[in-house]
Amino acid sequence: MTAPDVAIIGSGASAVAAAWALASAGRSVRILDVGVDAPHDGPLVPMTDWARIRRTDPHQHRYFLGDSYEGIPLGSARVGSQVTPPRRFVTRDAATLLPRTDDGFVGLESVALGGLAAAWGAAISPWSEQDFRGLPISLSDLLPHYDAIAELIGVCGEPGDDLSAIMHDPPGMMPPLDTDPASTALLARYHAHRTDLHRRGLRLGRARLAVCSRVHRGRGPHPHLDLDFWCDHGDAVYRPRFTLRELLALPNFEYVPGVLVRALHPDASGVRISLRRLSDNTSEDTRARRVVLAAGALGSARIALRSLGAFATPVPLVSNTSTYHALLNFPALGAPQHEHRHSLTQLTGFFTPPEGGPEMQLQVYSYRSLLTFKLLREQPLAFPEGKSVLRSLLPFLSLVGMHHEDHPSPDKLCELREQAGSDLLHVRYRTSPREDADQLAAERRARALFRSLSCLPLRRVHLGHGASIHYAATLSMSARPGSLNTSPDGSLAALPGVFAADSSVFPRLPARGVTFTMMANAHRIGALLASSLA
Amino acid sequence: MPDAPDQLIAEGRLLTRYVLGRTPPDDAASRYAAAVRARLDSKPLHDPIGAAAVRRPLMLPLLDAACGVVAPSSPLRARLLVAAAVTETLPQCAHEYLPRPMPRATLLLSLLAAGTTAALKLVVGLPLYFLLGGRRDRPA
Repeated sequence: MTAPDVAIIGSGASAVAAAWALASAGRSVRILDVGVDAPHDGPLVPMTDWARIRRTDPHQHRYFLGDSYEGIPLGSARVGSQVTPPRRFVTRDAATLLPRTDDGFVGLESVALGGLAAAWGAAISPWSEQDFRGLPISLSDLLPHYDAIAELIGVCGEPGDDLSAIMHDPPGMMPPLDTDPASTALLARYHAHRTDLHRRGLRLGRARLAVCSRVHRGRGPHPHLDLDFWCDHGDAVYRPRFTLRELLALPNFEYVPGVLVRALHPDASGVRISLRRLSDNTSEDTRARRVVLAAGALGSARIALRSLGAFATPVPLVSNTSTYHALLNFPALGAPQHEHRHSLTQLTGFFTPPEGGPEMQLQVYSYRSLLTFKLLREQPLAFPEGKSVLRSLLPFLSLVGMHHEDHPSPDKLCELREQAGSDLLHVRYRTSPREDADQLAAERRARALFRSLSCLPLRRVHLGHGASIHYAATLSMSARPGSLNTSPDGSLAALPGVFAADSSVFPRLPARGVTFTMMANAHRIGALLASSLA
Repeated sequence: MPDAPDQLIAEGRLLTRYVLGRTPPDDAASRYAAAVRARLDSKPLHDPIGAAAVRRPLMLPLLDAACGVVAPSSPLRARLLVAAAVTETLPQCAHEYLPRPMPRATLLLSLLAAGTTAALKLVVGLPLYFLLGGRRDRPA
């Protein structure tokens, strides 16, 4: 194989964003990927709405529960509820190929085609100017890349609403998806009390989603079948494989699946890449002028640390703490129901204490398409009564995800450890009592705001640290980079010719979700690298 | 004495009928047995609480109620979850699980009835559970 200008490790959201910037600028690009893919045995989920499927499809247990019944949540693990049986490929083989031990952490990794974004909830929240504090780049550096990524992936939302004032809306944003009856009623209630709620620090609006609500780049429109956790009908909800499909049409792009990159060795003419071919478990080397790490914050750290022989060298790790709150949404009581709906985030909110303090992101969902039986194990009544109560409450039950920012600390670290001729990543993650108390206090205030919207908060569920599936800081970007830091252009100080373009470069995570910003930054790094190679 | 596969089918018949509140379609029990074999073990319930609930079906609602409060991760609750999963994904039973919008008054009455029934089951079920040697789940 001829050495390309740039080899990119991974095929997730940041990998394809960097690849798009590089390949569009005429550089030759090769993606090296394990690339575990979904089984290609034909579309299992019929193209009809969720309620009709429930009443008619005799094969529904195959995708709702899985052929090995893996969709029944037994045991204590509750992370990754969005990784439903049809999406299990997203985490397949990751534990074997990317061994890890955890202390106080329950993270997910992926070696799938599209990475973790193959099961992304698609909510986007561009970061605010404040969110870039401590970074050597600013919002203005990313704005053109937010817009380029929005055009690539397709974004929908409601322009000019209460979120527009605090969040960058890309030009060409498509109309929002229709909210379901429960969230429509909640939003109406919010509008009726808007002034008071603004004063108390709450902004609420229809979610910005990486979803095509009309035809865009051959995808969409979203069919509103309420099957978004189970399939990608209409290709409307963004997945990295859609960009990969576009990249594969370019003559200067190549996708190489079935390889696991182990280490990188910079030399005078570029970078030698050591990889393992998974079909026959053989090792081989390949070359590229430059390499972009986009294997995820944990995966990229693994490769960088191994390449440097930096065993037992801790690097920081941050992860948003997320908790989920069930609410009885009384404004929705008695609202007429319909089947034209989606399963993704319905409403996005931000709570900022009026007296100052960190922002908290809120995401409002309805619970329906993930099936009722999963809630039965979360309630204390005998099953028949539990089922009866849940069926009555579901039409006005809302779930609110509350997401907190995260900063590095001496108790949030990962390191590569040698083990029997191989290595594994060890993660130690502990929040301080002060962090826990502050987060609880912020959540209490947010719950009070929902009470004033006539919602009754019920249970709070914390799935564990790492369950947000947002990780960062392992190769933090710095204006004065140390050996395991990246420069503002993404280059790794200790590995010349190697760049990082995933969330590993962010030294902290604000409450706003990382995926869209990570893609915009990967696009920025790809564009800078393309210019430097011209 | 029936062998383990037959016992598992019989257990499936009992538990699916219990969670559904009526006789389930024929394939519910066999699918229950397949799911238990795939995700739990191939033996019928054999802990004291689970075995008692299967042996004396009149005790099942009482022990289920008790386990829901003091032992949510008990084998009995796990198997009831499997029974619920299996029946919910049968099209003939879907309507038993779909959300049920109702007027406020009906909703209140329905919640009251479910709450009262659950409380009564618990009052009898808790002493029975401990009498049979049941233990509280240890906090996670």
